[in-house]
Amino acid sequence: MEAPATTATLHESCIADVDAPTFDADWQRRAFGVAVALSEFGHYPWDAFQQQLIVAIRDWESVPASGQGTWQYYDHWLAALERVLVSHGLVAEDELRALLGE
Amino acid sequence: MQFGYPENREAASAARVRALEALLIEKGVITGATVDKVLGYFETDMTPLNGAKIVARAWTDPEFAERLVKDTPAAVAELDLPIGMDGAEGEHLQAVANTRGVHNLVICTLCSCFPWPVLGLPPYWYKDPTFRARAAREPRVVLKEIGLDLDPSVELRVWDSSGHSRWFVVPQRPAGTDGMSEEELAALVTTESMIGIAEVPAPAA
Repeated sequence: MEAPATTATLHESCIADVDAPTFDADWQRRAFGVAVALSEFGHYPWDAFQQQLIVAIRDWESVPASGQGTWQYYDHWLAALERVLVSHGLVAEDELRALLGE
Repeated sequence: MQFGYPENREAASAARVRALEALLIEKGVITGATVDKVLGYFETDMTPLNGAKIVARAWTDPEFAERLVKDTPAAVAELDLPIGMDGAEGEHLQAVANTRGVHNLVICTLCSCFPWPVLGLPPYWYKDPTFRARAAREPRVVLKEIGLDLDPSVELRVWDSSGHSRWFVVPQRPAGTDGMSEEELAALVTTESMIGIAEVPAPAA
């Protein structure tokens, strides 16, 4: 994995951030809840989701910075959720494509 | 973005999540109430208050502190916490204790594993690709930038979380806290200190 340039700095508000909201938007909260709930109720082991999340993030990080677009953690979360739903037979690939209007 | 969806990325993601949840409900895989229940559990029961209570107990009971690093889930189960330890990755909890000569830092380079039952959900910067990469590569520099200037004599240990080990730090008890109750001590413990990017400050005199 190619690391970002060393000149990059952290957010200034990186510390003392205890009260910061965890989710910026309700869709992030729902995506989180759906992924965790499905695992909690045994539809897939958490590891399976996590592996897909690692892959989604790695894919983003392997693209040159100019083509990456803004970092949005929950977009990767959502991509991981879609992949794990298909790999565990909870949603068929064509259902997912129809859903995404592809 | 996909054809037929708003161009705005935020709106597109929101629409995707709504459609996905609706499809799962329609197929009978899940109900909206189930998702609400899981979220409620995360938002009210699994918070850094749990971690703070564990740390305060470790500060006041050296034998507990020893058990805590040896078998974290078992030691945590001794406390009366609102934690479902069999779910939400609680079985993978691993505590590491700071000492005068050793400072511990928890990161997750691959995604953003976090010890949810004891620290709640991670702050946004913990998930940031810059933080994840730099904290692994040059942790001392990163700590200094965010205000923790470790003495060169202090050994820095970096723990990379995974699905099988969700690390959290037992920070050092600050000076000036003799005679404080466990409850008062717990109120001093911050999330940052349990990730290892800060120390617990001494209480204001």
